[in-house]
Amino acid sequence: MKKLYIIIALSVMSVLTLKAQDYSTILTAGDSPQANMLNPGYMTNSSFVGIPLFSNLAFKVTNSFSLNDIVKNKKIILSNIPDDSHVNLGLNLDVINFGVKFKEKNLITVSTSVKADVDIMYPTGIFNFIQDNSITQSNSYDVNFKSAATVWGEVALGYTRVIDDNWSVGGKVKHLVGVVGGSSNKTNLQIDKTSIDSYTIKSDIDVLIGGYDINGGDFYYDDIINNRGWAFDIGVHYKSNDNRWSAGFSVLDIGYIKWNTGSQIKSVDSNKSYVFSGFEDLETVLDGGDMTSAVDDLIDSITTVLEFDTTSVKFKKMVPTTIHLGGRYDIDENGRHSVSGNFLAKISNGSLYDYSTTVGYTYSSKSKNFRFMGSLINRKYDPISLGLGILGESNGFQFYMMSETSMAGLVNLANTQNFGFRLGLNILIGKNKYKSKG
Amino acid sequence: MIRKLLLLSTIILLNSCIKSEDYEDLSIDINTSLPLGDFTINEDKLFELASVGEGGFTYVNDVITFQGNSGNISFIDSNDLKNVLKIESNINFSKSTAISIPQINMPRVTTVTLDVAESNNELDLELSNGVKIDEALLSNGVLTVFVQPVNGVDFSNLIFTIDNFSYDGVPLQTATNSGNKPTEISLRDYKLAPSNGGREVSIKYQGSITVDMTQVDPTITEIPLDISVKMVDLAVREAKGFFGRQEFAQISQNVDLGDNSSSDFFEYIDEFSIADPSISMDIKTNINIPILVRIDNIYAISKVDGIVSKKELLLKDEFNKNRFIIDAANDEILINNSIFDGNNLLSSVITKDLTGLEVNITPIVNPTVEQDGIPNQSDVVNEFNIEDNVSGDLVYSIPLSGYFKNINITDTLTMDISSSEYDINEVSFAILAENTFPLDISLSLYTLDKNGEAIALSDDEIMIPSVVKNVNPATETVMPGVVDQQNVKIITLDQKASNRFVEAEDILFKISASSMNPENLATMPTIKFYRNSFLKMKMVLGVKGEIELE
Repeated sequence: MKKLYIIIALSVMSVLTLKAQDYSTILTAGDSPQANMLNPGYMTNSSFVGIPLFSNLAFKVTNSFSLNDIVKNKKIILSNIPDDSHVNLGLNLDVINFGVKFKEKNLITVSTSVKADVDIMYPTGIFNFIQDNSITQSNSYDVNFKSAATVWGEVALGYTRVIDDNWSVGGKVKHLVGVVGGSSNKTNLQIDKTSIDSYTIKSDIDVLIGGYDINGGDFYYDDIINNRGWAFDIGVHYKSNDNRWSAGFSVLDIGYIKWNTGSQIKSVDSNKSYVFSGFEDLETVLDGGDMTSAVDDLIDSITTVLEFDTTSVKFKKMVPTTIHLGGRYDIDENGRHSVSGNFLAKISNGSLYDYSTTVGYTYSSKSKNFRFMGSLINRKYDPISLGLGILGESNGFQFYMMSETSMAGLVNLANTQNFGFRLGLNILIGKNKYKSKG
Repeated sequence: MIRKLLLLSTIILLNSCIKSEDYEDLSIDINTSLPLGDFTINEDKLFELASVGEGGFTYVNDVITFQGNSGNISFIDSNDLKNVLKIESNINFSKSTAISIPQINMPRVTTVTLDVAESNNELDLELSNGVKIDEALLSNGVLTVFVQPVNGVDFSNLIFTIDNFSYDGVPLQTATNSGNKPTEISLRDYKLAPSNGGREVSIKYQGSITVDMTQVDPTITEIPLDISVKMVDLAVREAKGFFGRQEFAQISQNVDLGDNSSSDFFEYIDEFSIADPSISMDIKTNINIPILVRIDNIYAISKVDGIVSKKELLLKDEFNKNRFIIDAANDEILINNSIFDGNNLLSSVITKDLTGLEVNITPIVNPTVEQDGIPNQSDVVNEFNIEDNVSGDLVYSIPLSGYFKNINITDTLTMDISSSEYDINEVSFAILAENTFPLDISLSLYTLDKNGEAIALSDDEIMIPSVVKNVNPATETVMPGVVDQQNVKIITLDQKASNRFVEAEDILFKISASSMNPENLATMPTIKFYRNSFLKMKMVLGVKGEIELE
C-alpha cells in the first residue's frame, strides 16, 4: 500500500503540474465504473458505489489557440487569433453514483450529477478594431461572439445487459434540471467606419437565456425545478471471445431542457444602427470630466437606439451531445499491455464544436491492481495532446486520476490549448480477483 | 517500473514548467482611432473665453452687439408740466359802479327793488404771448365773489355767471354774498374754456338789488356796487391749446463703459474699428406736445495709464442733425456717426481705452424755427395731463461690425490621460471643422510645461476657412457650412510631441482670426458677427503604441 500511495502522490503532482484532464483516457483504462458512464453498454466487473462528490470529478478547458500562438516577444498579437476561435469549458461532478450488478448479466446504475458546458466565441473583430484601425483607414469590423452555455443537474437511471459472451448493450434515462443556460442564435455586431469621424454600429442579436433574469441580474435559483428536461444515453459494447479485443459505441445526452423560468430573448432589429461620432459633451469629458459616466451614457445611447428588447419566452434547448466510438486490444495474453483507439465528438447548439481522436496504451501490473494509461489525442483545435492516467485498486477501493494536455504544452505550458483532469474514488463490491488468462 | 514512472513524472514536471518571465509585462500593440466628439465655439463660448460675462451681449438685427443702458432718465415730469402752462394761480377782478335810485314820483315806501342790467366783463388770464388755452381741466382753485356791503341794501339777487367755467356742461353761476360773507366756489374739476383766442374769461352779472329805504340816507340817489371776483390757487390737471416754446434744464448723462463686456472682449484684439456704433435714446412720452431733444455735447472719456481724458466729439452744427423731434410716433433718437463732424465720428472713439461717454441733452417743447431750426409748431394743438411725463434711457450699442485684426483667443482643456500602463509612440488628430464666423480662423495646439509655458505640439497651423462672409444666417434659406473636405486636417505628431501630449495635463487651443485681407491690408473689409455663428470642430484621436497588461 505504501508503494501505491507514493505512486499516487507522484501522479497527483504530475497531474496537477500538467493541469490536464482527459475524457478519452478513461476509455483506455479498462474496467472502471466510469467506463460505464461513457458507454452504458459496458458491463462492469462488479457492483460499485462512488464516493459521494468524489467518484467522478472532472474539469476541462479547450481553447482554439495557445498562449504562444499570440505572444511573440512579450507582445500579444491579437491578429494571430484565428477567426471562429472558441474557448470551451466543461465540468462534471457526480454527487451520487452507484451500480448494482446482479445475475452476472445485469447492471443497474443510479447517478446524480451536476454538469456545465460553456462555449464562448472570441469576438475577433474587436481585436482588429484595436490593432488595425488607423485614423485614415476605412474598415468594417465584424464582432461575432456566438456563445452557448448550459449548467444543469441530472438524475440518471441506467441498465446494462449482457447479450452473450461478446455483446452487451445499455442505456440510461436522465431527468434534467436546468440551472442556467443560454445560446445565441445570432450575435452579429458590425462596426463600420463610414467616415473619418464616425462609426456606424449595426447589430443583429438574438439570444436565448434561461434561468437568469437579464433585467434584474439574478438567477432563478428558487424556480430552477421548472426548467426540466429529459435525455438518454445508449451504448453497445463488444468483446472478443478471448477478451483481447473489445469495442464500443455510445451516444450520450440525447435530450433537451425546456427552459420555463426566466427564459428570455434579447433581439435587435438589424435595420437599426447607431452612429457614434464622439462623446456628447466632449468638453466636459476631457476637462476633468467623468469618463466612466461618459462611457455609460454612450452605452445607454447605443442600447436605446438599437433597442435591446427583452421578451419572456419558453424554449427548448438541446444539451451538448457526445458520440463515442472506440476499441481496445490486449497485446499480450495477460492483458498487461493494451492499446486502444477512441473517437469522441461533441455536438452543441446544432454544430460539431469539438472532437478528438485518441490512441492509447495501458500498462497493468501483474495483479491488475495498478494501471498506467497514456494516450495521444488529436483535437479539433490541438494537433496532439498527451493523456496520462493512473488507476489503482486495493481492498475494494478504486482510485483513478487522469489528465490531458497539449503535447506542445509539455515542452512549454504556454503552448497548451487544452487541459483538464478527471479523478474519482469508487468502492467495488464483489469484484472477482483478476485471474490470469494464462 | 516505478523508477520509470518517477522519471517520466519528473521529466513532465520539469518540461511543463512555463518560463514565467517570458509572460510577464506583456503588452498589446494598438493602432486605433476614436472620434472624440464635437467641440463648438459659438458666440457664448467665444465671449466666455474672452471673460465676457453671461448676458454681456445681445443682438441687433441679428448682429452680435454689446450694449449698455443708462437707466431711466426723466426729461419732463409733472413739475415741468406745471410750468409749461404758465397760468397765474391767482387772478383778481374788481369793478366799482353804482345803481341809481329813481327820484321822480317815487312813493315813499319801505323797500325798493332795483334792476341791475347785464354786464359783461372780460378778464385777461395774462398768458404769455402766443399761448392759448383751448380747454383746461382744473385740479384746484377757488372762485370768490364779493360785493362790498351797503347798509340797507340786499345784493342776494345779483347773479354772477362765468360761461368759461363749466361743470358737467353747466356754466358756473352764483349769487353774490349775503351780508359781509363772500361767496366761495371750489373750481376743482371745473373745465376752463377761455374765450377771445383762449386768453380771457368773461365775468357776467345781472339781477336786482333790494334797498330798505328806511335804512338808507333819503338823500342818496344811487347805490354803490363794488364787485370783487377772485380766482385763487388755480391749478391745471389737463390742458389743451398751445403753450409756446419752453426750454428745460440741460440733462447731463454719463454712459459708463469702464467695466463693460465690450472692453473685456476688445482686450483680445490687436486692432479693430467698429463700423457703426450708436447711442440710442429710447424716449417715451404721452404728452401731445412737440418735443425737441437737443444734443448739446458728446464727450468721449478715455483712461490711459490711469489718466482720464475727455474729448468732445464735434457735432455737425446743423439743425435737424443733432436735434430731434419726438412724439408718440417718433420715440427713438439714434446718435451715430452721421451726426458728428469730419473725423470725429463715434467710431473713432470706440477703442480699448474708452471708458464712457457723456451726453448733454436739453429738452424743448414747441420749438421754433428761429431758435431751434424747427418749423413753427404754433398750429399744433398741445395737450397734456399733469401726470404725463417724458422719460427714456440711453442705450449704447457696439455691434461687432467692422474690421478686426488678430483676435486671439485661448482655450485650455485639462485632460489627464497619462499612464504608465501604455506607451504611445504616435498620436494623430483629425480635425474636421465648420466655421460660420465671417473670418478665417487658424488653430494651433499647445501643451503646457511645468512652468506653464505653452509649447507647440506641431508646426502645422490648422487653417479653418470661413464658409460664410457677412451673410446673415437668419435670412439664409439654407444654412451654409456643410463640412467641406478642405476643412479636414490630419496632424500627426512626432514621437516627442506624442509623448508630450500623452503626459500633458493641459492642452491649449490657440485660436487666431483676422478680418483683414492679408493680400491687401488697406482694403480692411468690414465684416459682421451674426447670431448663431460658430466654429465647430470634430476631433478624432488616433494612437499607435502599446498597452502593458498587468
